[in-house]
Amino acid sequence: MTAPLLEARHLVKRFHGIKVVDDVSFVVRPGEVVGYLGPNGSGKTTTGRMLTGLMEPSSGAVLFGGRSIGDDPVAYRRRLGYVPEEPALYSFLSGREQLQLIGRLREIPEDVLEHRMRALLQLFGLADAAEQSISAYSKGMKQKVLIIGALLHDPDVLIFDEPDSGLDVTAALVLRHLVDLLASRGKAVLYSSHVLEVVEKLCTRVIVLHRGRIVAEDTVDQLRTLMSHESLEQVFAQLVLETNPAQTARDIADVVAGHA
Amino acid sequence: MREQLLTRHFLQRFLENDLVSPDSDRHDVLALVFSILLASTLFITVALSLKFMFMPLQSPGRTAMLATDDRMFFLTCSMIVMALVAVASWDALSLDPRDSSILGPLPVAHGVIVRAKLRAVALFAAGFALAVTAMPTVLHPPLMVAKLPIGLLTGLLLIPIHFVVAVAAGLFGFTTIVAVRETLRAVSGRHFARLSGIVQAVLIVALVTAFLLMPAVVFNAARSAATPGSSVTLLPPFWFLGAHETLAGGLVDGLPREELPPAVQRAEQRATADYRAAIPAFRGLAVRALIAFPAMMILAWSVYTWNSRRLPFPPVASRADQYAGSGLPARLVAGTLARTPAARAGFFFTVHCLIRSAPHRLVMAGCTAVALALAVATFQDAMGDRFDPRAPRMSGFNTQTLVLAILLAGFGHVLRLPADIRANRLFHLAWLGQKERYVDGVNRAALLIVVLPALLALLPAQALLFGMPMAAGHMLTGLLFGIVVLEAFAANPRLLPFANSYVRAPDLNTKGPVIGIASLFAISIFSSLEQSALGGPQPALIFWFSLALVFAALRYQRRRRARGEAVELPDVYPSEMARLDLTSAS
Repeated sequence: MTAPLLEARHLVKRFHGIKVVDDVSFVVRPGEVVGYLGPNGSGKTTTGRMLTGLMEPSSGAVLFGGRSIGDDPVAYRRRLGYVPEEPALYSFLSGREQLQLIGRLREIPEDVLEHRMRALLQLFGLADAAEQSISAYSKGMKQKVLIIGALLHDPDVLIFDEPDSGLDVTAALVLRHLVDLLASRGKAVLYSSHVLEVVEKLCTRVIVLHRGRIVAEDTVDQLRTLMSHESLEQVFAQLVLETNPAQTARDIADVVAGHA
Repeated sequence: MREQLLTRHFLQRFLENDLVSPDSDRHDVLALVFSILLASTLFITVALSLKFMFMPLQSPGRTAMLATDDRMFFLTCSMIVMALVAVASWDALSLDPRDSSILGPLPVAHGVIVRAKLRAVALFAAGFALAVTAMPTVLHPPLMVAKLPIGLLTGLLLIPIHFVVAVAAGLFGFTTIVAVRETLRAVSGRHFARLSGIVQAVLIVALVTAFLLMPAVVFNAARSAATPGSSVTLLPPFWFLGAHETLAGGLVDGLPREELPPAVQRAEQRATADYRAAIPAFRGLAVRALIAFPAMMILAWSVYTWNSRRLPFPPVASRADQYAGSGLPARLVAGTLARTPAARAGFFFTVHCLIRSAPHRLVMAGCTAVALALAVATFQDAMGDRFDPRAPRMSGFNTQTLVLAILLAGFGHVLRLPADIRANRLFHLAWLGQKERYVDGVNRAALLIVVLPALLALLPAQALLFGMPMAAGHMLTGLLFGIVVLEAFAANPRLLPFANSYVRAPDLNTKGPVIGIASLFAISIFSSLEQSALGGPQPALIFWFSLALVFAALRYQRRRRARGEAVELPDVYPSEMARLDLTSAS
């Protein structure tokens, strides 16, 4: 088994004394796609921010290649690609200008940057809107810019935080194949998503987070076997759901119809 | 009911302004704006009215002449302030794509949405017009005529006349901006989003400059109006002054004259003659106001309703938006001024922020306006009636340094403003700690788009005043001054231009006046030194060499610090981020 490239070691994050991430530990190896699942507010994004170095853990450490990312943050950032959950981009720039800024900050040589931007914008179907202001982009278009920005420098570690949000069917399929291909080329990928079907097909291993704590970590097959369920959705439901979704749906329909 | 609800919603949108921090309480901001308006107009009104209170032997003719200047001031002020209010709320003046996406799917008729928006714009304008004109309306007429033998009813009549004309002038200013904006929107189509910001900045520069130069225009308004062929009467405030004087002028001028000492009597006769000579001109100007006001209202309303015939949606990509790559100017800059990737990032990000980001652009537009007004006033004074181009004079020599100081102070402030707090996360992730080269790019962009244009704009006037050789030397000093000041900005170790979440600025409430006075003092000393140095080639070279030396020292210090500094993310998890509520859980 290859050595872990990225490791979260006993990560804890408190906000105003409340633990939103509680003693989270896991590793991501080269060639692996690790699914990171959990309901809203379970601490996935906070973990992602700590893993990228954008947020400091209250305790615990993030290791890259066995060394704390704080030892040489620049070396880590050179090899990290991150697609954040929210498509926060500079709205006054065009898609091309945003990518150019990121590429230049990453010191990608101009000719390489130009070539990659042109090709990636074309492949992601954004070439026609490349010179348009990002303020006029749809959510899916912004998401594509984020994905291109994370891939521009050919990183070794990729952290995707709900990357398929807002993407159309074609782009979502392309992304799925892309993540698979990147892993097969030795990249370490942490993939957080609410689309369990994708996670089930894509991820070699799955971590399930609930209220800031890891409640399960194994391969999808192993989890299914252990919990005697046929799908990851059923496993997930058993692990983290506190209400009956069908009953909640009925209650909502009743409220809407005025029966409740 | 729905219309009222929507009107309230649209009125709240006026407070969602780029100039207002998202952290602040909007009602506090509104209260502050109105209290500043009321307090400043109260102060100005009382200050202008004091001359009537303390005028010995006040007489109708002299009062009418003096009051004309005051009214001209109030009307110009009302018009410019209202126009500025409209420019400051530029994006909220009409329905935008966000309104469309929220209100479009609701079962609300299109006409109701448009009417509600129009009502909100009208109420907003009316509220500000009232705030701007309230104090002068209530205080100026009574204080002006308090010592004159005027009847109570006649005296009171001055109040509604002032109110109507001043509000009309203010609304004219506001409506003109609406008309300009909506006409631009109608003719520019999908390019409006990009053009709009530039036009807004140009209008801010023009209006603030006009506001600062206003005292020069309002002086001796009656005589200016009466001068045949005078170009100042083309200015809209004169039209409304004409309307005001046509309605109210006779109420004061028509008062009976009392027996006065001979000297005062002569002044009174002269003032009466001057005022009465201007009356025909006032009537002509009043006609212009009478035509212009409804014409502008109709134009604004027509183009506004034309643009509102359907809800706006974001422009869709067209072939014109296709990937174009870097243009020739960008490639030229990349090959000369910014040769490393980080320097290019700094250079182009600075250009984009200053031109396209609303808060950055507004600060720079405001500073440009102040600098422009200062330059116009000084050079106009220096090139007075007795100016002879063959005999250069040195008055106004410190103007260039003052103009640069104002522009660079503005630039120093915008460096602290984040381009976008949330989007800065991506910047931080891509940041490899190459601050030195990034800042080089930022400084070169500032030189190219802030310092050089200012120097080139000042050059013709300075060449005329000081002679070309001196003006060229002065310009070189300006360039070196700009380079040194920009390098001094870079000395702040916590500052990463446009990418910090929050950099504490000096407390301007307490230190501001001290910093201002010290800066003026320093600029005055610098200008004196420069003026004597430019007297001969050798002292000039020594002076420029000294400036270059200061720059080299600052630069060396920055490099040394950069080598010793641990490469950190610009501001990961500082307490300020928690203050800005950026540390929320997933």
